Amino acid sequence: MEIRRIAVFGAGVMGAGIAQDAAAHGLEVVLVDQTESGLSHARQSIENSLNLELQRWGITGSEKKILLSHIKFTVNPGDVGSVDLVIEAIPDDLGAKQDLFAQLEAQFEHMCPGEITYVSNTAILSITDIALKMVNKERLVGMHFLAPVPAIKLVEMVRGVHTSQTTVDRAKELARRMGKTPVDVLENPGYITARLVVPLINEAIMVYQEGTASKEDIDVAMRLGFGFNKGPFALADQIGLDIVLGWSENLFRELGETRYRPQALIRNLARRGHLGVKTGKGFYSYENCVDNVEEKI
Amino acid sequence: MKVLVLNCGSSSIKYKLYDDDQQLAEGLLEKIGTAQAQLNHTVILEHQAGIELILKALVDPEKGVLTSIEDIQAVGHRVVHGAESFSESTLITPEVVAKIEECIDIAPLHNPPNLAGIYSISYLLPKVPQVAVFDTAFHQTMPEKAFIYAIPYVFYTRNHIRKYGFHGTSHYFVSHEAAAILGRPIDELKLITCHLGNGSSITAVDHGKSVDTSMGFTPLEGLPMGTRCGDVDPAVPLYIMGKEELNLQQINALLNKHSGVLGISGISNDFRALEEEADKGDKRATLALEVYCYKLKKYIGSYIAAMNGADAIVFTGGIGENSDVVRELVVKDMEFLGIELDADKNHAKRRGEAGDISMPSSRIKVLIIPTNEELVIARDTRRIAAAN
Repeated sequence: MEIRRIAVFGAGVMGAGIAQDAAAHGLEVVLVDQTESGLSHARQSIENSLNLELQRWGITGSEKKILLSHIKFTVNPGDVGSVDLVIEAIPDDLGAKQDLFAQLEAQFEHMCPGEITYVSNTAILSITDIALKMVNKERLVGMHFLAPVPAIKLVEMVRGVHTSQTTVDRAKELARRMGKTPVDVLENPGYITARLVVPLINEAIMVYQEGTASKEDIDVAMRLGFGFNKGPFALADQIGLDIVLGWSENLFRELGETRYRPQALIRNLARRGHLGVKTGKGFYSYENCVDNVEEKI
Repeated sequence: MKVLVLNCGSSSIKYKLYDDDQQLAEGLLEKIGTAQAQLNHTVILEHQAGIELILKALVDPEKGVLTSIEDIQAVGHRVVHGAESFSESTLITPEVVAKIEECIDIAPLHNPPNLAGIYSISYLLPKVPQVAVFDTAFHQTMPEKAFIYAIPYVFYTRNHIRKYGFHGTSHYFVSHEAAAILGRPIDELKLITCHLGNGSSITAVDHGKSVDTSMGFTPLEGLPMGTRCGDVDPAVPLYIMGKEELNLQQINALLNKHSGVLGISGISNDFRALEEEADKGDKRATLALEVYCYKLKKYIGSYIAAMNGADAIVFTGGIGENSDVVRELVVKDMEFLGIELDADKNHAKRRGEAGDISMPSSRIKVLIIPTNEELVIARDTRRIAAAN
């Protein structure tokens, strides 16, 4: 059965990005959040992203309207109705995710018995652990999208111990519908992306703090020297420093190796609310930037 | 035989129902995919839902023209791009669908909605034969020297990159109608057919065959259009991409959706709006019209050269049929080539009316001929469905 209508629970950066990208690829999307303010922030961030794309000639005004008309925003899970697939995109808190999937299963199995695929957009957690309180554990699969979702064509497909092949195939169909290339990963901590990028960012911070080079020059060296699209500092700002910090803490706890240990500089910036591109300031300042020009701080 | 003809665009579906050559019904469903989509004020969110509504309307006890949906004996689809795989209309089979899908890369605006129409009919009327009539088919007679681009030849053999041309069904129809108006057999005529609508193209039709046309590998080449750029220096998009750091999707949308007369004027892609603004003195609206008509005039000159003469220039399509301003700007000051427009006849022509608008002394006639692509599609569909 073709995937036509999906629900996304959690309207943060990832949830809004997934909703926007799914709608851009012709899917009907219901975006659910606990608060009206969360939804209105998500709507605003989707509109901002579309306005930027409009400014950069990528879409037309009428395409923007069509895309927005494909997303329904609601605080009431009961308004979701019948869907083919549910994506959870709340923060990476194991207990919260376990409870949410138990609730979702109770809600949707009654409405669409045996037909729903459940997806967790976790970057780091075990799918087997997340499925703990579910009855139909075989129907949960992980899809790790990366921000900004519309621009990044990768999704890590994470299989838990119980995940069935049918569930994986269905999630891959969604990935293809959204123009993403799926890569298969086991549910080891950090999968491919977080596992490799955290030590890179940590090491870049050490090189900077040792006085070897400035942040700007480290980024330039990695971009021009090794063909990175962004250097490690700009990359961390794009991912979000709170997210990078969460990944570091989790990887350090799970794997115990010092290369994953959270860096004080990131922790300090995050405490001050400087989370990167999304807050206008991180390692660099992004205030008043209309495009991808990085201003030095 | 009752034949339903569908022309599925990205946001609209045009349909006509024929019984042999007699048209029983026609309609237009607009703004598909938006909350404002309307056919009798009903919200439509996708092509299949739209086609279901069309079928319902056709059997409506009060306004409908059919007693049962089963009266539809065949469905004909306009399909924009058939590449070199199709030089004529064809019965739709899974293999044909796969080949049309292969062409999505080179006709990203058009082939997907055409396919949506085919998928929808396969689902809604699974037993009814469907026929694809390609915009590219008529131009398959172009000689190699007209369709090969001056880039390494391997791109033709490996990637099938060449000029294909579009609006073939319309150029075919109006060239045959022109022969009837001129009272001469088509195989002794040299014609230049101008299909001018939101997409515009011009074709040199020599003895009934397309020998050159302005659209190319995609419908982006040639004349400037409503929102498409037409011919530009190929270095320009590369320069803009570098300067503005645009990706492929963004430059593609810039050239296809933000350019043309809309891009020049900054006002509209609608020529009626441009003519109104130009009348009020808007300089960029005037410039947009001038750029469009100047380019068209140059194409006409080049096709007269390519065919060593012409018997008639034919205007068709929404703009070609209805804009006396455009027609006049295009063919005036071409007396040297034997083209003399009768200004009074040009202004007097009414919507939907065919006829000659040149002076009796004009060596090259100037004709207006309303196009009827759907009739060609209905005839081909009938012929092919009956043979299968």
